[in-house]
Amino acid sequence: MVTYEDGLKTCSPKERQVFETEVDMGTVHPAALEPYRVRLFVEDEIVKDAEIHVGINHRGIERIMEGLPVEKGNALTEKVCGICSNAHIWNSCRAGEGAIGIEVPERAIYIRVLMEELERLHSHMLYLAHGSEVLSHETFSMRIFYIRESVMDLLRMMGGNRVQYGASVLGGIRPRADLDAMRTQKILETMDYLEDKVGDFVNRFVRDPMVMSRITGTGQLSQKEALKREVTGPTLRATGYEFDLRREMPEYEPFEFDVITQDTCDVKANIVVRALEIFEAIKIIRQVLKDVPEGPVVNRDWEMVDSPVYKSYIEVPRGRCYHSYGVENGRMRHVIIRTPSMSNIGAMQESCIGHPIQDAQLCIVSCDPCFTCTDRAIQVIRL
Amino acid sequence: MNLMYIGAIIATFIIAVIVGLWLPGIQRKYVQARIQQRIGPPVSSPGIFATTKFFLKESVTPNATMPRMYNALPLITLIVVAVLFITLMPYVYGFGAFASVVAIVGLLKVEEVMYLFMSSSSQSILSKTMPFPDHAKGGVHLDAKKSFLEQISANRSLRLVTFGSLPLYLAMFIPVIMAGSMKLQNIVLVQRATGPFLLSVPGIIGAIAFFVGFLVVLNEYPFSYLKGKSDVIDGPILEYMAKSRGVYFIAHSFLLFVGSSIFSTLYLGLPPSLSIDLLGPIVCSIIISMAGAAVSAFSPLFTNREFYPTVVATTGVALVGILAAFITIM
Amino acid sequence: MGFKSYTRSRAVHVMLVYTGGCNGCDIEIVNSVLSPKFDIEQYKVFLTWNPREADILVVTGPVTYRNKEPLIKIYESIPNPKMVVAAGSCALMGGVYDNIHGEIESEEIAGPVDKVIPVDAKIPGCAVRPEDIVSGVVAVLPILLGKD
Repeated sequence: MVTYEDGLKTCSPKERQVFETEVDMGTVHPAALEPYRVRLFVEDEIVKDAEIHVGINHRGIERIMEGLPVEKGNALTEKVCGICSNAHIWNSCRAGEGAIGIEVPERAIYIRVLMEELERLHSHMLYLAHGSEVLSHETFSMRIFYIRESVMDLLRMMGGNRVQYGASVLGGIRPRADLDAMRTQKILETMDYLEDKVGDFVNRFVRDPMVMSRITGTGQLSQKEALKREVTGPTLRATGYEFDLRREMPEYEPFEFDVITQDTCDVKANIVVRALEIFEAIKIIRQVLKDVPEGPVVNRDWEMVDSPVYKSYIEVPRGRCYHSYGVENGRMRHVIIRTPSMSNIGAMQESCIGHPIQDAQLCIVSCDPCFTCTDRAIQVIRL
Repeated sequence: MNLMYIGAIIATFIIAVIVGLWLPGIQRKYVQARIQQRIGPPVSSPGIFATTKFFLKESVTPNATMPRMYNALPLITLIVVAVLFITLMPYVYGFGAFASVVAIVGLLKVEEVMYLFMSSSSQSILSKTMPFPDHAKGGVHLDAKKSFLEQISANRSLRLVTFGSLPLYLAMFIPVIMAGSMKLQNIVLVQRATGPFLLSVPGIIGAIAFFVGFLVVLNEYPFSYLKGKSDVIDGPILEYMAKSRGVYFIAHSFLLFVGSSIFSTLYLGLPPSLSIDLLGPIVCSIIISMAGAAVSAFSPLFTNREFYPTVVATTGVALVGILAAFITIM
Repeated sequence: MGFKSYTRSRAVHVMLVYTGGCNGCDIEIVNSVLSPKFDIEQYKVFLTWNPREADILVVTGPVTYRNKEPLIKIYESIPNPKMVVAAGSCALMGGVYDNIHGEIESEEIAGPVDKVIPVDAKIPGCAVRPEDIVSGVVAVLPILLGKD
């Protein structure tokens, strides 16, 4: 452990700006839920600087994965995160399929997209619920949690579990997660329900004058700052920069959807972007169910070969997710996982500055943090 | 004769505490849970049985600068609120200046200042003393002075004491102007003769200002930035456990009842006494607590940006009420 | 049932401490409290974030080394009588993070919860379902009621 005096020595004179006081929140805090520590440097209740500590729940998944058989390692990536578990297993399988050269049946790709969009639905609703909770608006939080339960039921139906429901395996999807007439009908019914209920909720939310007064103009992050900090996902789109990796992914080519952007760069923009993305996800799910081709869902006709490191990027609910590994003797080598919250930490720290302490946690939550994803071993490469 | 008065005071007191302890349950079960479309807890749980449970728990020394004083503060609050309640009763109207609006204002101020002492003494584990290596290599601003979460609460409680509760006090002086006297006895007698002040224009305006100001004094949800979940968790009461926490809960729910009694005395002319008049405070407390719960279910926590304009606007409303009261008596 | 146990059974305060793991159990527990569908408050169980107010400590996740000290401190600051419920397979036996090495000990994880603080009840599942949490917390009540 580094002591206080050691820390002082490493601190350069330029950074030695003395603030009035420092307020620490965490590692157990109601607004955070996850274990992370945020140090806020405060002058007269206004946050002047912020620092977020990660690494508290570092479990070393990449190290566990290195040396495991590819199929086993893929299954383990599901445990990276409890919110976007399907995204991790999908991206991991995608990297493996690219490395080994496996052709994936088209029906499997459609169902993977379906699962990913269902996950986006539940993740964005969780975001809305958590955001309302940090605003201390219990009623909105409960309302959106109630609507979210219908998506959780769909995930349980498709994947067999409420949380760890990843459908992908190397070469396709698990046959358990296949679509049939009953499931299609159930999903379509739920989509109608969701469109109705989430529409009502969002209308109510953006018309509430007190909530709007809390979130308008809070947590400003300009587009220039966002690009400088390599912010990804809906947080970047909320600053008006139109970028969505789904536009470039071959899996999403058959589907039509809009990339939602907002110009106001504040918490309201973040919330509105995610709320509107719920409707885009519903649109994609309807297209998937309409066009899903018949055929096998898993391709088992492949042979394990050695391959160099293969990189795969996909768009997950929080932004760009990166997985890469090489295969040697059927085992994983050199695993790297980079999750979107890692690059959004900069945005969280930046958007707190200049706001009261009460808004600090709101600004952090508005970037949709997932610190369990984030705690990876990272290596800073100076170019 | 005196013994009878003391007996009546004690009996009213017991009824008030029992009614006060049901109020949190009524708020949680019948208002908030209904708005949130769920079943909610039993009516008795959040108030009576939670408090009794805290009394039966074991206590250890709290992490506070002066643990004994910190543990005594809820008891002092309870005594202050109890004296406030006795002030309102018709049995003590003979004591002259003691039974006047000035005494009520003074005692309420003392109750508010208690939060300042509580939050400046408390040192919870959840912020500064959490065992975590903050000063890691490469950390920024390593020489900043660290402070506890409760110290933010202390700053805020000072603000509440200075101007947050202004609407409440202004609203209390509208009946004074209408009755032409500071004494509670005269205020009650004038209302017995001419009907409650609530039915007049300044009375209605004053009631609105009184309600908002009372929510500020109670730290109810939209104004509870002293103990908001999103930053300071529980604020001043973070370190209370077992008996002192139970006493705090009794004092808080009793304050809810006493505030309603003030309203009932000043605006309806029904002071809390051992007679049919006691229905006035009871009905007022149920209505005020239900309205407060409904407001808190429909609003987020206010920050300074919303808090200042609300207080300024309500103060304006109260001033309009005072003006209307002057016009009425002229 | 005496008066003491009766009052305890009518108001139970639960505190949640999350010590690593994948966030899944954590969301399900908050979900079981906040969602009107499960609504743990109807069983007289309330969620709190203040260790001084809590009766039952619900711990999820394998305890990582950084979380060990805070967990012990929070456990110590809960006044007696208190209970500890470990929820999820990570809290029970370390989950995949601790066990996939086989015999080799993990360098990141300070072990399942019962190596760090005494555990009274265990709720299995990966992730735990809200129904299980409700039934687990309610099942642990008799032990809490019996304590002095």
